[in-house]
Amino acid sequence: MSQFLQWGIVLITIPNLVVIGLMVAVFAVGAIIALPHNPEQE
Amino acid sequence: MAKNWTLTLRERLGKALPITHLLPDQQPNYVRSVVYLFGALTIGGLAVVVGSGIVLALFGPQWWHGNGVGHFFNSLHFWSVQAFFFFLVLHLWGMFFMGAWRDGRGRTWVVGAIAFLVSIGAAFTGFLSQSNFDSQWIGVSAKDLMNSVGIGGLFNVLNFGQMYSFHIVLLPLAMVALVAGHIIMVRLRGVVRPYPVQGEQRAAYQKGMTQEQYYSGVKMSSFDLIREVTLGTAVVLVLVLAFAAIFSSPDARPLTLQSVAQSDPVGFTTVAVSELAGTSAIAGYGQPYNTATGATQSLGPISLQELGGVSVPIDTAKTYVLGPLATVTDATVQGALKTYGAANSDQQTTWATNYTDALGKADGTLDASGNLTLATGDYGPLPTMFGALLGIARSGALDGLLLTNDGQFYQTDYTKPLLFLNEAALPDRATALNLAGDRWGMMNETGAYPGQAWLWLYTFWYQVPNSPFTGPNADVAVAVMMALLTFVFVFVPYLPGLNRIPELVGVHRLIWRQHYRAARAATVATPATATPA
Repeated sequence: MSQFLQWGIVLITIPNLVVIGLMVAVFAVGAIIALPHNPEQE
Repeated sequence: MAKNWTLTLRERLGKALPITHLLPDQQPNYVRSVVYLFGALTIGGLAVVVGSGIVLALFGPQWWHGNGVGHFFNSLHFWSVQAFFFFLVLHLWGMFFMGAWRDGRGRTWVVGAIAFLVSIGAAFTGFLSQSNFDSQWIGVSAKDLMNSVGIGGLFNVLNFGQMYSFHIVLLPLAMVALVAGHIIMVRLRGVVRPYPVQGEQRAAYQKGMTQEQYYSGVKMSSFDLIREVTLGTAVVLVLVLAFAAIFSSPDARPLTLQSVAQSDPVGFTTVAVSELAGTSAIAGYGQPYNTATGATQSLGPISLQELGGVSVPIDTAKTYVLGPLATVTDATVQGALKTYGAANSDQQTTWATNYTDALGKADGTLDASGNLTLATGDYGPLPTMFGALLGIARSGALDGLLLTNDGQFYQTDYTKPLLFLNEAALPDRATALNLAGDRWGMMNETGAYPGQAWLWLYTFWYQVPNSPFTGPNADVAVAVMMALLTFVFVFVPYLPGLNRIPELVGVHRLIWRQHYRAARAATVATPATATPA
């Protein structure tokens, strides 16, 4: 059975919190990391 | 003679869908953030979802529950859905923060947003189709919202066959068509340009611009669309294989009338008596099951639930007690039924009240005949009737009777047994598993697994204290709120003010920072202020 975290009316299971936390982290990392730069063409 | 239709179609398709745009080998140089890869990863997730789903559909429920390989494919499907939504949400965030609907791309956003909503529907019907405890609980929890807006009979979440059809045919077809349309629109219009920097000189977007005109002066880089999508699919497949192998997937056994009658004969019989007496929750529910008003919801003076009518009629006494007992050939049971039927309603109520009170004091002991041991009292024929019903239920026959009684064809509509189980057994077990509504149950999963986290906004409203979302019309209030938010989400490109949020938030400065750096350098060379807008 999942454990919960409660903050006011926000009540979330640890697995769901992990998924949402990972989403935020991956998005932040994705925004920071640049793709390999290919030769430019006009 | 009329022009050749085939030739006409070919010419029009050739003009409307130029292959160089559908399968490009170049892309603008500002497409340099990993955020742009989330779309390809989403497509990869969808490919694994569809592939694993096809295998599951080929072999059926018993295979994915009872066979090791089947359960592994069930795990692949479960984790691929999680991966699909994971990357879909990231793609959505990325496109939002980039204001990707600008420069004539509003319809691209709208189609993508509708694809997202259809995906939620596909996942939801998938969770309903698991045929385990989770699907039972999600079904009985979700029925109230569907019923409150009058569509509970049309879209019956307790009808496994209907939900399975939606899940494996109708919604996937819609999803794939929408995703394909979305991708074609993206490819035909190209990736939106970054928000301009102050002082930047570039041609403003004009309706009807070709992609070549839109990208005039924009530096381009080489690009391999097919390789990107293939690698995206491979990455998701490896992730999903690893998660399925390491974590497996949730699959709590469902409740049946047989399992409840065997484990809790007093609880089963107490519910059955309330069904006979017409005092159960379903007997007093209202549409679509009957004309009672106990759970009828309305929006001001309008009740969509009442307008929906009684489309899934259930006479609780006949369905759960009198009908099943009519199939018993034992003369004593038939005599008891006759006695009960001949009594007036006051007498029937007295017997039911006395019997219910006695059940409240029973310890669940069964006598040699399999009947509950109760204190002596004025119960009329009820001990004989409910002794027989308990026997039918404990043998498993009642589960089948509720699917096929009343002249029904052999089918897969579990509305009747699930509504009976929802009187007590399902909520009790859901509470024990932390799946109840006050614990945001709809987005949770049995065991320590992530659930439908994408339903958080729907589930959230039920937690707001002292609001319409916790009153007697909670479900219809949530439905209206979600309809409003859905409208905003889908049409945000066309809503003044809201469509400028990404520009004001400024996450795009991080995503396009190399582009802005280069633009600043260029404007330093030609005197002008170069600050991201």
